[in-house]
Amino acid sequence: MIIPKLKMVKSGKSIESTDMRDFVYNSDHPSIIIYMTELREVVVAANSTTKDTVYFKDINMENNQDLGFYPIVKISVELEPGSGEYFISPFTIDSTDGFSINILQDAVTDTGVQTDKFFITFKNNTASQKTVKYRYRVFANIG
Amino acid sequence: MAQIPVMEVALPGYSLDTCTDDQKVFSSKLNTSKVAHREETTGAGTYTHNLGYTPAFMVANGQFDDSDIWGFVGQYPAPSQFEVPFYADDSIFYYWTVCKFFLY
Repeated sequence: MIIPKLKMVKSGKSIESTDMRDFVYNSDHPSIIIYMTELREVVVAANSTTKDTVYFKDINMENNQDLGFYPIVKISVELEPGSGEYFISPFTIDSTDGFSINILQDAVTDTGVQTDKFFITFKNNTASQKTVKYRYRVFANIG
Repeated sequence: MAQIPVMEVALPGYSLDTCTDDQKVFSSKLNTSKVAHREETTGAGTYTHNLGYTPAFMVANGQFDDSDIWGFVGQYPAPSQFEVPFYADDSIFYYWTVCKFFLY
């Protein structure tokens, strides 16, 4: 059986190369696929917490769908609203670090990923309402 | 000079004539990630990749305490805030928990 392949080689490299770094694209090595991504805004009242839940969608992005696997999900969070500085490792920053927002992990139900959704609990450490922005990227399962 | 063919696909709702690179699903003018290995582990261990260079990787920690909740990239899904170290060298990827990872 002939298996069709698609390869795009970098300028100056050989299509016969066995080093995958020589290719712009090589169907022998799938790319990481972003299944869903969105920039979200969550309002968190003063000295309070807000849990934001995002349900995964079907391929048409219309109906909620259990993916049947735990997807790898990456987030970047603007812990100081308005700063424009997004942290890609916000989970180790606690309320004593001086940021307006931190992510609550007091219980496993605060922040985590399931097969049909993910959820994040933001804690506002200040005496005024904050709107926290974050971007998520849900990666497709690559078998 | 020979022309170099280009393959590009725009995101739904965008035109290739006017869209920016971040509004494309694919462009052969831009490098893409090539996944060398993907695995879901059952505990701590190592994976010998033998790529000859240190790959980039992305890891999500697995279930904590038999719950059905996993972590985000960079999060240990427990009522704690300590980090779980993952690292790679040019031949081995090291992991310390149930996890799902890509090497690319």
